[in-house]
Amino acid sequence: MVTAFIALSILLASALLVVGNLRMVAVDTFDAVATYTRRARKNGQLIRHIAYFALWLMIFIMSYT
Amino acid sequence: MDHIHDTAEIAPDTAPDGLAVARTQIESGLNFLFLAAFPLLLWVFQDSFAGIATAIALLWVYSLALRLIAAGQQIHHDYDHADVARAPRVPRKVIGAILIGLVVLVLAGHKYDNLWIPGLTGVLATGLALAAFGPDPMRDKGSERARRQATLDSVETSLASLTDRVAALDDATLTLKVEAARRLVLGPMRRVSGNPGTVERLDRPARRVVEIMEHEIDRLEAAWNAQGHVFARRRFLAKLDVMTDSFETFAMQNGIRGSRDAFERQADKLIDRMPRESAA
Repeated sequence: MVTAFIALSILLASALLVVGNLRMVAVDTFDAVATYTRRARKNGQLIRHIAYFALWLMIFIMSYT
Repeated sequence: MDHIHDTAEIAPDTAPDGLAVARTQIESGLNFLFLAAFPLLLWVFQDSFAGIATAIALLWVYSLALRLIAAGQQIHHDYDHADVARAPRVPRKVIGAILIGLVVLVLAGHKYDNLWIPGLTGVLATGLALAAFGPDPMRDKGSERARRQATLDSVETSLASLTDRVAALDDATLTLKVEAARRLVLGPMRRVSGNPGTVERLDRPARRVVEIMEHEIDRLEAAWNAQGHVFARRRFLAKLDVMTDSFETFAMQNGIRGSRDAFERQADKLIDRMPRESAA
């Protein structure tokens, strides 16, 4: 009971924090992704990373019956 | 995630510490990839015996594939950082990618009823794995001459360290014999170092000699302070004799070392006789 309450309150609080600063979160996320993309493209790793994540997703989805 | 495979980021001059760090970082991407197959664990809880067996077999094959890729990447990484390197004989990364494709094929076969979708996904997975981890290096690196020099150097260093280990045992006969064996192996190699074809041919047997000697010296050292010390010593000497003989025969058959003349025979006899006479 107590555990459930603590867990739910933490969940709620963090959700509220995210929703409250939605704009900032979006900007930061975009910034991080853009920086990563620029750097990855610069050392020519972008295709490899995309392939890696595609493979990850593929294996995950296929093994999830 | 950029540490999965971009090993070129680390400058060569940070070796060997940087090399070790980079080598451990290679693995983390693969560890994360292993997590992708975790839904397979659910099969163990909900399915029939066949399902459990399939899941375990698939996990096994999958981890084998990842291990192969990891080994291949480490080899590739070392290859990238060396000036002179040989292409790996077994294309581990390609084999690993094909195994991943097989795993995905079997997984998709459980999902779809027809055959061509699983086949397609299997091929696609192999392609993705190849794109993500890259194929193995296919050709030897470095100039012909540098490679020959490196071969000679490596054989020379390992032989030197082996003779040092034997010398540390503090036995005059053994030291003498091992010295002689070392000179016997190095002599022809140095002499033909201008001739590429012969060096190639001599490379394998020389490596093999070093390998066997290493093994034998390990055994000798293990037995040195124990009961069977005398026997181990005799055994080592016999092995060494056989090995040097066969190496010499090989070198002679390949025209690297001319057949021995009378002076050499005399010298050998003298060396052979020396410890016996002085002991008497």
